[in-house]
Amino acid sequence: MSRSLFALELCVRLDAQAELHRQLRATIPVDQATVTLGQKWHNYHRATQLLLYNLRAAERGCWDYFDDDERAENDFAMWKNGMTTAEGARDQARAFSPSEPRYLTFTLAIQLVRDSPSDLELRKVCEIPEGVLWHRGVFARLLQHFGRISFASVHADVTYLIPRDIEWALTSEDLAAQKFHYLRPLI
Amino acid sequence: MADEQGPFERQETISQPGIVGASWWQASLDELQASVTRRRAIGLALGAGGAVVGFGALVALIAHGCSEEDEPEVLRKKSLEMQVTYGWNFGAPQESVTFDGISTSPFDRSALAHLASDLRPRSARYAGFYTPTLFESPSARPLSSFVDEPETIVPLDQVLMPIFTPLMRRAYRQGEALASLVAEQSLSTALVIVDLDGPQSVAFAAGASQALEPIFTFGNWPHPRGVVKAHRTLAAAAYFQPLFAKAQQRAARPALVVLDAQRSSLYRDDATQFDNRYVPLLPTPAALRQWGVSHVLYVTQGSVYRESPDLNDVFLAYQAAGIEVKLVAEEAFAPESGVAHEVDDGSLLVPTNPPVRYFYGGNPRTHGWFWHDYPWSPTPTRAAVEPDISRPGRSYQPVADGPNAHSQLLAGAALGTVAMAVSRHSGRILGPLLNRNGSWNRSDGSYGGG
Repeated sequence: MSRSLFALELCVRLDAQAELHRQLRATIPVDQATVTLGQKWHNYHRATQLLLYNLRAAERGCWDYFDDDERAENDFAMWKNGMTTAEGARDQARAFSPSEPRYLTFTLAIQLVRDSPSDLELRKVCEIPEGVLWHRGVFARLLQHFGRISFASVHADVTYLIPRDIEWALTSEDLAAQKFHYLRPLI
Repeated sequence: MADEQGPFERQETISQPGIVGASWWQASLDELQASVTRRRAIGLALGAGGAVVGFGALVALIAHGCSEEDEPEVLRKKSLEMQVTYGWNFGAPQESVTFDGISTSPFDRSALAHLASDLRPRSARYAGFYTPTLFESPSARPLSSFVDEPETIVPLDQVLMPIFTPLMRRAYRQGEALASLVAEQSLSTALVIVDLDGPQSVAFAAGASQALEPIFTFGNWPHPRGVVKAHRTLAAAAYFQPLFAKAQQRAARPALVVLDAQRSSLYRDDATQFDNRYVPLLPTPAALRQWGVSHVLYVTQGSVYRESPDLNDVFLAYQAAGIEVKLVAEEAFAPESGVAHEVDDGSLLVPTNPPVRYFYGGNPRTHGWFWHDYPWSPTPTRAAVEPDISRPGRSYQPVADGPNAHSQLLAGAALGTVAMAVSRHSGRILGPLLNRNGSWNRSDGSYGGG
């Protein structure tokens, strides 16, 4: 079975209530040992809709699609490592204050059965001209499409949210670090 | 649902103050692949109960029938086409359908053979929009079987039982009430579309058949795992079959398009479900013009005051063609309250005397107000009292849906398809998977914004 990979990460500035953070947190069922196709679809649909509604507050992001099997395998492992090594997370808390810009990042990566109907459809959606890759409209199009993905064709997936606790939200200084350079400013 | 086991198994989780997340994988996809490469049979659990159905045939074939070069691919095929070929309940032949509300009226099972013709519209002009598909399912027999592991398919006409439920009785009376209004005014410029759950829609059509000619649009077959409970609609049609057969002898009447509101039920690629949804065929604006129709009355379930998303385009087209579309909720037709009624528990296949009657607005005095709310009557209407019920449907008009509405409804799945394992080498269909994934048209490339 050949695979393809789609991944998307957004860095969103939090507002004073950090409501988005709480809502996104609820879409990651870390306590469940198994998840049905329906629940999976629902969680992703909820998360992508939340990101879509808050896209104006998203400042940086990136996305990828590969339908090369080896690359899909390696890159999926890379995205997963981003979670397991907690590479992007802060190592200490800092009081949350509305006067200081604070950010969350939400990352999702799915490995699809290559050439499955969902993959073919997603591939089409990802045919974006180079000049507009970082346009908010493109991210909107990708997020919008998530409701059409059949999770029966998804082999593996990973989602993570930085931070879990709001006092550990990223700062502008954090985001200036080299390790976040893959997140490009959105246009 | 707490005990429901999903196919996605959690692999890794992290929950630290700075990050929270989880990774998952769907083992069954790997197992499918492993079964091909290792060429040995494995059991793949289907759904919550872990029943090994459908995959069994596939796996056996993989084990015994395929060469290394002949690995199967998974293709989506039309559900109905597969049912016609391999039997109505293929993939789940040991599972049965349940008929809640079985009727105690005499039932001639052999009559099911002419169900499709008994329910055909009498008027030739309506026949082009009649979909007999569901009514043809009882007498159908499989055309083929999976070569290496044939299934025993018990024909539907041997298991089908007619049903008659309290909700069907109510819908029948509501249909009768609407028919009395149409008959009273000899209304010929309206088309009625009833969109209730299948059994109720059938019952409504039966009640209205005195004055309206039903055009059934049920374009699917039942399946034990069907997301659309088509067997219940079929069982309701079987109950009313004698009545519909008799109604065919009546003179031409205005049309009543009969829809099953479950036709586009939510379906999310769950392996425990069989996608027997469909898109109904509705009369075109040109046909309505030809029939002299200038008004459409859409009858909805409960207090629903908008059209089903899959009808949005159709209703907009009617509107664009100058055909007015209005809506009425079925609950607008009700028995008179505060008055003692005859017990309404007899068979509807034999006339009761006096029958329990339903009225627009729930009162004989408000019944005629229908023509004030829907001023389409060709002759002056009699005096009536305005009913004290919510009636937003009279000011309804279709509005274009957003681009997302229908796609959300369909949840990303192609309507009415089923995943089948197909030999890459011979193109032979090996067996059903009852989930969705596929593997065609390979190409390479990458895209990205990061």
